[in-house]
Order: sequence, then structure tokens, then C-alpha cells
Amino acid sequence: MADKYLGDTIPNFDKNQSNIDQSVGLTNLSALTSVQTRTIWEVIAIILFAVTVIGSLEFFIRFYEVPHYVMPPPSDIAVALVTDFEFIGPHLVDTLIELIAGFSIGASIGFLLAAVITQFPFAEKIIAPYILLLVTTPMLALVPLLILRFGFGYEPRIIAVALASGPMVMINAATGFRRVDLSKIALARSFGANTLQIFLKIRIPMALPMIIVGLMIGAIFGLLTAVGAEMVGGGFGLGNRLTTFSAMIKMPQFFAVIIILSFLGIMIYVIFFLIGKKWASWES
Amino acid sequence: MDVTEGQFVSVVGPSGCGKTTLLWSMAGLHSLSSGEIRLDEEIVKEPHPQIGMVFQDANMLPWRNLIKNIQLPFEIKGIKPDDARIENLLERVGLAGFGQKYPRELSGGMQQRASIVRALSFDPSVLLMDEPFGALDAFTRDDMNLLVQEIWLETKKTIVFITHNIVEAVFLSDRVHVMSARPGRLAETIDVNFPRPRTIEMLSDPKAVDLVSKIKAKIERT
Repeated sequence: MADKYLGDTIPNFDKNQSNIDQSVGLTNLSALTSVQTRTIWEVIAIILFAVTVIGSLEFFIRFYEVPHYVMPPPSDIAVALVTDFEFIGPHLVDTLIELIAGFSIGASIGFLLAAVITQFPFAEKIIAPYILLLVTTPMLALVPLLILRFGFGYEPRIIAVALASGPMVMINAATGFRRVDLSKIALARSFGANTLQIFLKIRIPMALPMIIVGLMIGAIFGLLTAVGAEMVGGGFGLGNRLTTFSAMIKMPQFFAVIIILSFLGIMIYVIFFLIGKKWASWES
Repeated sequence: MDVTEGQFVSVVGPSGCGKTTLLWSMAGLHSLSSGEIRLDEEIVKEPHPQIGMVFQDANMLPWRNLIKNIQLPFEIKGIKPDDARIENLLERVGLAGFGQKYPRELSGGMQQRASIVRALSFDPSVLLMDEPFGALDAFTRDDMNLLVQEIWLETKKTIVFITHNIVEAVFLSDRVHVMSARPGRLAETIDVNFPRPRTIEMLSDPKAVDLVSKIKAKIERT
């Protein structure tokens, strides 16, 4: 038998099988796709709410004369964001470089490993402990060691990002691949498909929703690790800006960087949400 | 069990008797502990290009639209899709113009019709059908039975059909094989000699009713 997962098993064509699948919340994108397109009134309401929150913050900070080194008023933050952007900009680029490079490497390896361990169960037993180690070790603790070995440039950060994001992608992709739908595999086999064809035409599309979730989580972890590595490693990057501004008690600039980071996080979410909508909406 | 070319053969029997296992073995999807399956002189041990299969579930890939689902066998076999034949078949089963729709947008009956088109698209000489209409309601089932008869009369394919429904078996087949369980084995073979094309009304004919009861009795006895 070309596909050992099918072997001699005849799948149970139970109509309820797909429902069982969907009850496992992880395997569908409802966490991402429950955001529906909004009506104009909802948009207005959201904007009004945000304005109220920010306005109240502004008012209370100024009225109660909260020290600006504790929390600057939003207006100061906005000003800092605009005037100091040319100084923060290069560091944003640095962080993005680290994130994109590290995530690409980590996600690719994670994906490949997921494919391997789901095809060869024995490989899973060998690799699992190391993955567990990677996931449970705070990458930030490793950064000083990486700097010792690789210097003060991009490399330690890229490696840290890869090590942080890879396992996330791998675990979710593996979960996706494990959603074996024997009937679909039997279908492909009945046309004479070999193991690779089954993998490319059946397994990957079926795993795609989980893979996309894994990519998103991995990217977020990667961003957090990049910023953390910069805080620990110093020199350049948004994390470094955070420590610098905080040390210089330039709090408006500090919070401006926080806002930029939040924006990056939201962008990651939006990108994968849209990807999911295009490639994985068949599941909802 | 022998099946002559161009024959329509049904296999009926109680649950668990091994009808599905038998069909899957014929499709080359299930290994044999003993004996062999032959198509003409060739031994069938793995999926054969001349054998097409229709499953219990329409088994459509949800991430592909109808046309792409039907083109799947061609993709896997590495041959160019026979667009003309596919279009023709879609029209015959009443799905013309539904090519761009996704499986979730179609009813169970429509999906099953699409899976029949898919099985016929690469023009196999043998069609294996594993209780394809079990999940459908009675009316749709009657329609589907008529459709299968039509297609069979036109294309003269060899069809092996598994069903729980004895009336369906009698309607469609030249020959009904009765299997018994524990151990699964071929118990009896009954020829069905009603002229074709057959109608649903014909099933009320006393001879037909008789035959159905006879087959039912044989199944119960085994």
C-alpha cells in the first residue's frame, strides 16, 4: 500500500464525522474569521468609543496632573510619534528584518518537520523532546549566549526569532496534517495517487487552516522574541528603543514605540486573517 | 464471483458481511488474504486505470469547486482533462452550469451526481459503486436509479453495485449476488430478467415484488 495511513482501513462514511471535526475548535478558523464585515454604524460606534477612551485618558492625565514619566497624555504620544518617527523608523526596519528573516527560516523548517513527523511516526518520537525543549525555554534567556557566539549584529536575533516561531508553526501544522480524512485519501488512491500526490493534493489543503493559524501564532511569537532580544542585546531595534527611551525617561517616545509595536501585531493578524479568508474559508 | 463485460451486477447482504470490503478489494484499495481479483487476464492489486469508483459519501474535496473536483483524477493520472466528455456528463446528470460552485453549496444528491461524473470522466470500463445513494431520500434515490440506468444503457459499462436496498438492486441489475456474514461469503446468485429500460412503476409488478421477497428471505436465512 502506497499510503500506510490508509492501509487496509475502510473509512466510516458517517455523515456526522465532519461535525466531530468542527467541534474541535482549534481546527477551524472561527477564532480568526468571526470578525465579520461591519456596517457603517458599527464603524462609527467603534470610532466613537475609541475617541471616548483616548479623550478620557487625556483628560484624566492632565486633570489629575499624573506625572509624565508615569504615563504621558495621548496627545504627547501622538506628537512624539510624528516628530520622532525619523529616528524610530530605522529601528522599525531593523526589527522587521529580524522578524521576517527569522520567521521565514523558522516557519519553513517547522513546516518541513511537521510534514516529516506526520509521515514517519518514529521520527516524531525522536524529535518531540527537542521541540518541547524549544517551546518551553524562553528564547530570551538564550539571546546572551547567541550574542556571545554570533556577535552583536542581526544574527542572534534572527536565530532567536526562528527558534521561537518555528515550533509554533510545526505544532500547528502537524496537528493539521494529523487530521486524516481517510475517505479523501482513499479517493485519491482510487485514481492511482502516490504518497507525494496525496500529500500535496489532499493533506496540505486539508491542513491549511491549521497551518495558517500556526503561521500567525508563530509570527506573533517571533515579534515578541525580536523585541525581547533587542532589549537584552541592545544596540538597535524597537526593543532597544524601548530600553533607551525608558532610561532617558522620554516616555512619550517610549509609548510611541509601543504603539508601533501594537500596529505590527495587528498587521500580522490582519495579513493572516486575509490569507485564511482566501485559502481556508472552505472550512467554515 | 464472475462479472461479464457490460453486465450490471449488485451485491446485497446484511451489515458487516463484507460487501464494502469486497468492492474495495476490487478497486485495488484493500489487500486480500487469499484469492485474487482479475480484470480480464490482469491481476488487480492496486488501483487500475480502467476501474472507477463511486463512494458512499460524495467525497468531494471541499476546497475545490465542482469542475476542479472532477478534474482531480486527470491531475493525479497526469493526463489532460477530457473537457468535452466532462461537460457532456454534467449535462446528462443535470449539473450543467454548476461547475464553479463549491460542494458546500450543493445538496447531497447533486454532490453524488458530481461524483458519478468524476468517476466516469476518465472513461473507465468498470464502475464500482459502494452504496452511493444510501444517504439520499427516497425520491432522490429513485431519480438517481433512473439516471444510473440511463447512463449504463448508453455507455455499456460494467457496473458492480453495492446496496442495502433490495428494491434498488432488483431495479438496476442483471444479477444479484447475496452475501452472508460471519464468515463473509457469496451465498447465492439470482438473475433478474426484467426487460429494459425499467421503470419505477414496474417495481409494483407482482413478479418484482416476489423477487424482492425471495432475495430478502435469502438474506435473512443466511
